[in-house]
Amino acid sequence: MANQIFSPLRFSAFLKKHFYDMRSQLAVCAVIILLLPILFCVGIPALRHCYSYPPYPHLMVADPMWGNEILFFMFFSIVIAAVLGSGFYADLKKKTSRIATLTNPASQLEKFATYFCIYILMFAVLAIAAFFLADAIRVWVYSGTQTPGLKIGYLTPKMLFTMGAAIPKPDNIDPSLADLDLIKSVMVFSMVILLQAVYALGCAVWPKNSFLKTTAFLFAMNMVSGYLLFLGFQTFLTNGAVVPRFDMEANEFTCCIAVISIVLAIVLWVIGYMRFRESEVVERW
Amino acid sequence: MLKVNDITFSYSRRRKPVLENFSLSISEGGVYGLLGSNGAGKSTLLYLITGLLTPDSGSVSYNGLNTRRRLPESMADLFIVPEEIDFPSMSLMKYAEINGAFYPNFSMEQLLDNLALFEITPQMNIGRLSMGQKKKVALSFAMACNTRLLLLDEPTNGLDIPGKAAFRRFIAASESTGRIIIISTHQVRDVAQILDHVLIIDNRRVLFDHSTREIQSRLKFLDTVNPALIDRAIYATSSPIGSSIILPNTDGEDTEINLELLFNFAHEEPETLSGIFDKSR
Repeated sequence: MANQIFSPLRFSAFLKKHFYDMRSQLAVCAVIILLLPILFCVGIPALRHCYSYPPYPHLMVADPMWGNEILFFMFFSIVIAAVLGSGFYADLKKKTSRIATLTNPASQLEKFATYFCIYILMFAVLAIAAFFLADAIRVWVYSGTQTPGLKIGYLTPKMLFTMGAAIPKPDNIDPSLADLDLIKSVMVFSMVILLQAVYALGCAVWPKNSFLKTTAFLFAMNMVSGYLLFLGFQTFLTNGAVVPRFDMEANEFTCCIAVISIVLAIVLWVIGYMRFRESEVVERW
Repeated sequence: MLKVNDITFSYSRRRKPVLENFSLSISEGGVYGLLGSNGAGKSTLLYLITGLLTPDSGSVSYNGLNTRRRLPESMADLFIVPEEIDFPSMSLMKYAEINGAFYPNFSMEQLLDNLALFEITPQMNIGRLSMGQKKKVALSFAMACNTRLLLLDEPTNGLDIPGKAAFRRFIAASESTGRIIIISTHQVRDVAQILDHVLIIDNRRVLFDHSTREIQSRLKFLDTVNPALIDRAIYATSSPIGSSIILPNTDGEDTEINLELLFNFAHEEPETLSGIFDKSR
């Protein structure tokens, strides 16, 4: 009996199939991912006249757009992660495509791996590449137009993935603080990964209108958990009750959040896969 | 070998089961007609066989493998053409190239022959076809996959008259291949001539399960205005040319099975019908 769990041949056949079947939708996504950063990186300097600022000392060593770009990339990642996560099991949306997908002879793991390669890995690489391309276009468009002395330059991967810690500053900065920002960026990206896993699980549970339903669910969970926290504080921390000391360093706390996010993301991906494996032609709740 | 072992299935706990302690065994190749009223569970049974639904109890196995596991080995040897079909927007040849790769016995040559029978051009964009054309493409592709189990849910819905004739030729040509073809349909007239076996399900169970050879050897189906014959009939309904009747076959003369009449008889007098076949054993 040939391998029933994962065969590279079958996986590549299903990858090719899914790519062809969804090529229009994937192309639209790719164009949006390419265009949005360009619109931001080229549009914002024009709207805010960033390169007409006076030559303040900090703007002579750091491009005024770098901070904006890092912030944009963070929000861009969050939105893209959520949208692509909620399209992860798009094959299960309609009954006809559901039947075709579930009866296709590729194994469930091969199908899951296909979706992961396209909606997570491929688009992550595309989003990062699109961002740096947009940055390069910005430099090409605005070079020579800035106030004399004002810095204009490319944002480097190190600056981006340290959340700006590696951006040169006019005063010497304590090198150990750069570690804090690297850890912060790991925490931010781990939470993006977790958010994407939540939306992917939401797509497995609600293939139709997945983005809206998952967002509504997260909103409701936040409200409920916020209310429960409030009740907890009211109940246990009144009448002179002692607040427990929280001795963790900010660094350690950030690391903890990052590790918990990654572990939780893995758990949610596994649950999403199991849910996908149990999918039927109709949802029976 | 297809075995449906004592399955019970309901779409929701609050609703009655669609199938209850339902069993079925098919080991020989042939064309099996699956008949039943609306809501009897025909499509549900096909989905259970293909692993698209999980029975509440019991199991379905094909060649010894539980179909609910949807293992590649099982899925590569069975194919379902559902009632509603949708194709992505691409040329038919591209679709065949991409999807045929999953079926070890897929034949491009056979696909082209099937398409020619249905008068479908291979270069067509299958995403823009009418329902009937999509059905033709789906049937052509299904047959070309050469899986040993083929499930067709209302295959003649949407087909034009030449398409139905082509479909019958299709199915008739597969008789010698040892394939199991299960056709779920209301359009009994479209498939009456090509069936080897008749399965009627009703009220969550198998109501009738006999080969067409057996049916012909035990029953005669006539349209007549002869009052003497009508009096002798075990079942009769009025028809435009008099009465359509069922008589016991006492003289060994084979007549063409009137599936509609047989279905109504099974539905209205199941004990009488089953008594005839049990007695004859």
